[in-house]
Amino acid sequence: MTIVVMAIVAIPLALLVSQHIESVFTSRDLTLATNLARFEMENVSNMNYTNITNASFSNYQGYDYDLNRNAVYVYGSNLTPNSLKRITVSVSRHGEVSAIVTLITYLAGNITYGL
Amino acid sequence: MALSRRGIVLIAAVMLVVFASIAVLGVTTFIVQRLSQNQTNILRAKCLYLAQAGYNYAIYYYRANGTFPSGQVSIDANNYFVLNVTSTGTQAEALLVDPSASYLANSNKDVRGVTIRNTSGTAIAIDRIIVTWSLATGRSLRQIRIQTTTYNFNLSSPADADLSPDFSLSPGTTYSIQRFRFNRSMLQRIIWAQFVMADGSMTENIRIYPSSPAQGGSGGNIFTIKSTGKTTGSNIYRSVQATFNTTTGKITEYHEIPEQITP
Repeated sequence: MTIVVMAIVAIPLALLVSQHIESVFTSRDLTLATNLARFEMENVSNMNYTNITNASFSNYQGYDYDLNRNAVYVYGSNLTPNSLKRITVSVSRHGEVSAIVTLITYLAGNITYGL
Repeated sequence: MALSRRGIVLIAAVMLVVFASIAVLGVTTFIVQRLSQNQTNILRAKCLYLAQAGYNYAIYYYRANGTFPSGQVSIDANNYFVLNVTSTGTQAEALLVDPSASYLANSNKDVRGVTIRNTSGTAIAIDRIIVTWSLATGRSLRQIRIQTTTYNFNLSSPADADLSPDFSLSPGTTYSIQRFRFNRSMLQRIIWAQFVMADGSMTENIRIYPSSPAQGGSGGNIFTIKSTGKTTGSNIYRSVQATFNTTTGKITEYHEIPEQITP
């Protein structure tokens, strides 16, 4: 009887615990991927505008994640003095295709900061 | 005795299960909250970069079209930003005076054809107009009429004509100064006007007759761009404010703000 009761309760509990473990890894993935994507976005913001192009990085910054940067002209081109680029940064687990985190922004050319 | 002990293992097992269940429930709650917090952090990061996209778009749009966009702009099906742009320069910077079509009328006693325009996104007001003219002897300023509002004076050059009440200009609107009226003919005189605004700022001294190119304002050269980034299906937002100088092409100030800009 005891064994039966334990089995009925233990099996769902074991499934729950396994989900917990998976959730911990998911949480770690989300945190790391988000911070890596933010790092790259800040990096892009400080790059020369013309140098912001498509790029892929395997094991980005030494972590077990791949980063893909996509830069396309929304308006204008490299031939026009005024242009706008859409920057998309996606982070996925190393070797996997589906992105964990994707950040998007626009950057206009010839913008400077200061007084 | 043996009979009474037979059920104790079962009771102990049930108690163990109950305790384990409570512990697992607690840990489950903790992990769900942590995952939820992570999702929120991702959305907040997304929204910040969408807000950044907003002011970059506004500056690009201004350079391409000469005006600022406003309202909601979608980047894709799930991501968008909302813009609000206002002038934060002085009122004099926002006032564009155009005397290029000025002429004399009414036996040369009236200067007509001068227009003024509020180039900013907010209302501005003229407090005084200081009118000066050459060969001033025997001439006095008697009247200034802007649209349908008439102000009467009897002032010698330099005439500090106080407009009472102040003349208010709505955003983006052009007004006609119907006339600067003098007591006698102003033929062969040169006439200047300096506009003193309600905030105390003033334009340069502008030659209103004989005609000269539009001058005085600089198109409201300092603008505040507020941008809110959002994703569809979420209440989370981030907003930034950037101060953009159209003359220098520089962002002179940039920081996050708590308010949400709505379309």
